[in-house]
Amino acid sequence: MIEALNLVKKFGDFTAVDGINLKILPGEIYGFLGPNGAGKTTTIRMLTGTLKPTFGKIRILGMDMEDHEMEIKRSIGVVPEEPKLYPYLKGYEFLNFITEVFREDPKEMKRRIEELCDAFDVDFLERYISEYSHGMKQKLMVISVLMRKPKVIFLDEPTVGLDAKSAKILKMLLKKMAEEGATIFLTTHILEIAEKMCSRIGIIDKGKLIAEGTLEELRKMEGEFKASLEDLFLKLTGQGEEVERIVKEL
Amino acid sequence: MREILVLLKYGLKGSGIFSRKKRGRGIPVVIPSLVFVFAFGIPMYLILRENFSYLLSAISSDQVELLMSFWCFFLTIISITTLFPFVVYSLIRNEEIEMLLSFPISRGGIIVYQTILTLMSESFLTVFFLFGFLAYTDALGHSRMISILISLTYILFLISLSMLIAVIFGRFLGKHNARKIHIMMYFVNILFFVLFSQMNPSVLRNMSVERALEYLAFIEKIIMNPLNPAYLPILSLKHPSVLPIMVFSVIILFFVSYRLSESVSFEIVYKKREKSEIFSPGKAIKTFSIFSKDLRVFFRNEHMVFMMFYSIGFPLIYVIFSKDFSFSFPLMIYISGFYTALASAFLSSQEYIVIPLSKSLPLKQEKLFLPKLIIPSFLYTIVYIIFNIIYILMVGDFLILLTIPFTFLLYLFSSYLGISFYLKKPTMNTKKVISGVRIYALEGLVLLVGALTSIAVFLYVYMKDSLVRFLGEVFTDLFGIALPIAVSIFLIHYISRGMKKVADIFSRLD
Repeated sequence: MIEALNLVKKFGDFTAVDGINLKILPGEIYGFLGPNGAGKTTTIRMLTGTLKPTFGKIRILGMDMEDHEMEIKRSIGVVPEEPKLYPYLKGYEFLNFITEVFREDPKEMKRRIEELCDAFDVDFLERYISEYSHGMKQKLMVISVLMRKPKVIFLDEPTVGLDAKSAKILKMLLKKMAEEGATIFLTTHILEIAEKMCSRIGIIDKGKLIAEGTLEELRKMEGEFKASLEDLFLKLTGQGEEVERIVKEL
Repeated sequence: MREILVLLKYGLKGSGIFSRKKRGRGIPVVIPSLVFVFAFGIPMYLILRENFSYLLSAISSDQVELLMSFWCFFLTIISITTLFPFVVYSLIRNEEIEMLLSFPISRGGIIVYQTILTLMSESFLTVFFLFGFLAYTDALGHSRMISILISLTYILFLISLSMLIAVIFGRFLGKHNARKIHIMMYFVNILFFVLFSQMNPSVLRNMSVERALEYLAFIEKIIMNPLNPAYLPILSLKHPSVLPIMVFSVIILFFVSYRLSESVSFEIVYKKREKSEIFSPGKAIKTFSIFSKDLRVFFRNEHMVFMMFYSIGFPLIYVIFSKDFSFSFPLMIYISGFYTALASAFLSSQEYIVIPLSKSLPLKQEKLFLPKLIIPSFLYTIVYIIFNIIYILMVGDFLILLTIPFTFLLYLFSSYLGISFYLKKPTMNTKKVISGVRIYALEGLVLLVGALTSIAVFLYVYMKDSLVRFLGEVFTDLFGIALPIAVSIFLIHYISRGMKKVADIFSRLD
């Protein structure tokens, strides 16, 4: 379970996240959407313990982030926006490293890695990470998280750089893991993904959570009963009319 | 041919779209090379011609020929071991190669272009060979035109041979291995240079006449062997048929390497292994996982390895030439201390460039940075101990071991400075982890603390009499015993407090 209470992050005078409240239950796939610079990545970084909030409380799996940061980090999985990995390690060395640092069972991990490598067509583990393309790094990052079967997974634009087959497998795996009780928190700019995958959606704009609910609830809220998520998103963020004007002018 | 000329036109101009290092500000890169060639080459030619003329009047022309053949042999080895790794390294998928491959330019053309650019950056080879050979042939009274022709043909021969070796290596070397070969060849060059310097007349002086003659005959057999390519320029002065053979060899070598280069993919060839073979995590304690990861990173960066060897190699070469250890110890302590700081800064940079990952690991920041402090200090201390052992073997004095704990502390302090300096101004450029004023500050602090600890102990042990004359008995003891101990206690306290601050700085970084 993920809980955030009145979460605020300020960078000097600029407020990146402004009083966000979240409660995401086990088994949910929560889509966190917003325009560029809305505060999505900052929120994820606070929820994963990589950035300290200016104000507010975070509880993951019932544990307070301030008091149990290490336990929380051990129980969660994070796929960041940019798959930045140690360039001087080989792929399998990185997975060894993650297994050891997270104190996972090596035998179980070996089995999981083999399964995931087959699923994502990964046959480049003995190469140096510095020689990987963006997509290859993304696959390695995804494997390093999914192999541990964490109870809470945060994914920031997880399908960027993945080929169609791998993206499809990832989406299906996330759904399966959610059905098994995992909590999934993901951000994406591809609204079709959010529409198809997420059980609940939160929309953030200028650091504030401006709407939250299932797709049906969002439609009801806006009175647009047949609208796509894309239309709702643009309307909620006030970008719909702007898009029309720009296209007209072009 | 036209495509190569076009590439060279822009490449040698230092055009912005070509990403080779050290592009001048609007000055074509060929000009500094040419300036160097003539500024260094002409005085060298004049001095060597004088020397050769003197030698020809003092000893037999066969002996001078042996000397010149030795010179050619030496330069041939150095040229090949310098040129080919450079070419291989430049061929392994860098930005420029990526771009050139998208142009309608043959792969062979790209390789020729890279080889010529490499030669331009290593123009000292041309200078040494061309002007040395001209000085020799002028002293002998050969035609200057023929001599220039022979020299240029031989330089082309060296280029073609290096190109061929580069193409062969380029077919199966990855970026990491190309870097390793590149650095390894530096060592081969240094080793060869040391060996060469040992084969001088002073060596002969220590031999009996029979042994010296045997030695010379052996050298002559290798160096003046007609099958030895390095002997070709000298041989072509005696036999006019050799020059056409050299020209023919250049053409053959060039075309073979050109044809072979057409099939070079500029990619890395991987051998596939079973997944079960390659994945083998141990039940390690978390801190040791970071240690083993950082150790790997350290030894996989060719500069880190080079710096470590250099820190012992340079003082050793100094000892070989001067037969004196008294300066080489402070020299080594200073070089190693500085490199320890750079190594720690480099290891810290590896966490910074993957900061979202580093921060998401279930590890306290102190634990993450502890290996960055320990690994470089420990490795450089091992290097220092090796140097001590060499000293003990050569001089037979064990007192030098007293400096080891102080040196280890100095290296720990340097490591801490490296980490701290880097994190206060972190950069994504891992090739230049500390720059500007900080470099000077680092050098100054390492030198100062080194002087107050290990160098003070060294001076106290080995130059006590001089110190007493200068400082008096009491101050000498204070300088050689009390001061290093006091500074060391302060350093332990300072480093342990500092590492907590380091963790705090890193946690505040984005």
